[in-house]
Amino acid sequence: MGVTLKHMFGRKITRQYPEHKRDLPERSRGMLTVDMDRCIACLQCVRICPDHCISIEQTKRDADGSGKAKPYAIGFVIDDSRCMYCSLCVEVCPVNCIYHTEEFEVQAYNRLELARQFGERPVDPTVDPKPTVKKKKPVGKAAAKGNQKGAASDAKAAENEAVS
Amino acid sequence: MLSEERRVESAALSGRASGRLTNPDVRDEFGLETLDMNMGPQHPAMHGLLRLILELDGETVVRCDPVMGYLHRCQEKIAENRMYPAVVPLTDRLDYFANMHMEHGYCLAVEDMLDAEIPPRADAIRVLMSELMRLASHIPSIGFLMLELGAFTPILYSFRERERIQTIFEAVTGARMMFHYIRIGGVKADLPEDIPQRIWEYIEGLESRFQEDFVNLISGNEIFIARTRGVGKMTQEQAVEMGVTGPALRCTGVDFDIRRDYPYSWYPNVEFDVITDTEGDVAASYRVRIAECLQSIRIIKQVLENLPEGEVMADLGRRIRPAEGEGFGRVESPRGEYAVHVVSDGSDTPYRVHYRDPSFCNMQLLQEIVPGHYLPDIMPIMGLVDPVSGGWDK
Amino acid sequence: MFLVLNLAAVFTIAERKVAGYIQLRYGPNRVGPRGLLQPAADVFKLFSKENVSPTRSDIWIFLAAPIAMFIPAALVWMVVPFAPNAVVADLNIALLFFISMTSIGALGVIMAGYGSRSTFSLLGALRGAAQMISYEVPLILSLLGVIMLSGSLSLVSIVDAQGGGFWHWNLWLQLPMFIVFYIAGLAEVKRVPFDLPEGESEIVGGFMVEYSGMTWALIQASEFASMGLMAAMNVTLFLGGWQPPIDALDFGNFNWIWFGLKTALITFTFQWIRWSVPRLRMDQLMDLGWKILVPVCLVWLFVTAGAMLVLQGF
Repeated sequence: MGVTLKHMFGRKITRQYPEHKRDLPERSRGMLTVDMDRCIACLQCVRICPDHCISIEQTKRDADGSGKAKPYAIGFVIDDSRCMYCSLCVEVCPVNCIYHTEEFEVQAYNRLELARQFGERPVDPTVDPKPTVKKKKPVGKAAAKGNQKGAASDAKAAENEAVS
Repeated sequence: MLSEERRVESAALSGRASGRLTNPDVRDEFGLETLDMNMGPQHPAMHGLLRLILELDGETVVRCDPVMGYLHRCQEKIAENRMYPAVVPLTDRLDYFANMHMEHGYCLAVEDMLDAEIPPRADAIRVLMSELMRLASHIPSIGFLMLELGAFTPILYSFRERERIQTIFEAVTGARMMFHYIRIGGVKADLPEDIPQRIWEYIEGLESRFQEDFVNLISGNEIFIARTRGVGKMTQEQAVEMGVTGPALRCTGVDFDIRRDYPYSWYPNVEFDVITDTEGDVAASYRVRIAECLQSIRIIKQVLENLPEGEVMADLGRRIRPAEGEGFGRVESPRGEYAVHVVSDGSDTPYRVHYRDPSFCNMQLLQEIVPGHYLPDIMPIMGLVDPVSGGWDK
Repeated sequence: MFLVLNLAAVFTIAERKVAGYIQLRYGPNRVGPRGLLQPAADVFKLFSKENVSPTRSDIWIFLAAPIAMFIPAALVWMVVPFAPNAVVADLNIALLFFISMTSIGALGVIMAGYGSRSTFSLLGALRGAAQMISYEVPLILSLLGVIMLSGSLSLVSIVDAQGGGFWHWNLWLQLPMFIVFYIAGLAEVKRVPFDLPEGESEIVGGFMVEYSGMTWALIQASEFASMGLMAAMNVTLFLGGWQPPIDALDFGNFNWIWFGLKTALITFTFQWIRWSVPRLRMDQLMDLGWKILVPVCLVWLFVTAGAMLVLQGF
């Protein structure tokens, strides 16, 4: 019991939160943010995200004046209500355009408000993103069969592009 | 499952059930029954969401059935739909008091399938983080034991320690609780420059604080001794038969510790003692946990002194796609033996992941040991088992 | 009544601040300067809460129980002397009044638990009844020494008999009785280490688990008021009431300052114990009461009687 008395008159360790905030270390994983100027719309973050938080609407546009139409993310949404801050998307991005900030106070009255849009056109966060998966071109006999199938799947891919 | 007669008899043998209930003639004549009570999922001191169906005779518990499943999140099923590296953040959320061990177990299982070589620095860092996590788990366990006994203060001292350890973890991994640091093939990133020094200073401070805050406050307290000595007494045979592992097993005297018997990672290069105690009761488990904390401090000091240089991540290729087969990894988590069994069918996602969680397996204790004790004794026995609800429910 | 309710409110903030400081944190410190207006905020909150009662409960007993718990605690404050001429009712049998009122408090606990008609409440009530009734025996026995020394049951004359400096206080002659009365008082008020009826970790509130809003506030107020009452009784009977420690510091009619200081000190020790030690189990509690406290009382009673006989012979 002497221990408690000693602690009672000692220093307190409470930090008065809204007034004094702690200095966060540099590796802290807060909310995600995207630098849209660098994004090349490779869809790696969409594929790797375990919770399907990120949805990207992709078009081809000549954004940097090089004369060639490259993939461009016209719509980019990160759903904070699903994000679990695992930082897999940060690690996989080839141009380091998605990264963690130090902000962690995320609140909203409606869950849909937590989906932050970064692109020009808003993307619906409630639809599960399905990035197109490139199939390897088969050779030989399979190629002949594949040509027929290929026609069908090409048509499907075009349809998907038109929809999204 | 104990039959009716055996339950009541076991309660009577412990000398605590009233003689009236055990005598069938008296019981039938007066229509005496046991009281069915539910220590429900909503309970401030239940270590999580556990429902205990109790039958009481006065204050003595005659039957105790734990009902689990209130926090079930289908983690084993979800893991079947995710790629191998993406399952690691999922394992973080299993036993959320010992995240590093959970990640470590899964990574060991997958590395077993891939036959991967982990660089020594990664191994050493893994052990360092695991032992810090063990400290961060045992100290609040003791705090929770005291909270359930009615002393509201030691838990706040425990959480002060845990907060400091979590700050160190935040500087290393970036998050305070869901670390996602131990990856398949090593660890995510190297330790920052000032971290070994910070850990060293923290450990030295902890040793002195440990003695005065915990040991002096708790061990000498007569009420604590009276409440925990002789409560939850288990024999070695009972413990082994029920599949209990961890401090709950070692407090009965069985000398089994995976870090020494099935060594993994950097543990072969580290010297430490395996703590056992002969009484199988709550006070013994408390002593075992205190001593294990001190051993963890010893291990951390050894690792910090001999930290090897090198890279921290093995080169396993861009895609982790093991061949068809199985992998098994086992780890000594603060609650017991944590093992992961991964089955792969050659694709990107596992075919089956099974977690052998110590909290789940140690819960059998409750059904066997609690009958015969008083109602207030259930809480110290839960402190002996020290389950975490993310563990038993996955 | 006004005094008692205010006192209960002040005790809540004192308790929470002491708890906070022991636990390395500040207690409430947002409401008012350093948190001192916290009880006002609590009272507003509790007034505005709905009084939920279980459907199956016996509503008359359920609602009467908090009243039955509060009224005895409030009434006994009437006989406590605060200063030389400041006592509301100078009864000749004040101690007897005190003892009988605490017994009624036990009845209130049983009513609360039974009226709630839920398993946890019933367990809490039965434990409470057993505990409070069995600790009344040491409580009363420990008073017998004081009564013999002062020769009367009236609290005013007990305090007057302790005049003339702190070496006259009953504390020194009756130290074992003081310890027994202190422990029995803790048990009567159901505070840690004896808070099994309200055992927060196992039966979540015990006999008062089904109460919410103002009914719960009344039960808490009665608990804090009784705690203050036991502290006041400790002070009055053993520590000299309003008597100053040295005659030179006598303030005359302002001696309630001394009374207040001593009561605050004893209350602080109550709270210090509450936040430091775990609680006793039921059988250990009963062992303590019957097997340890009662024999100590009886032995010291005979010692006191024998000493009085021998010393009066000189």
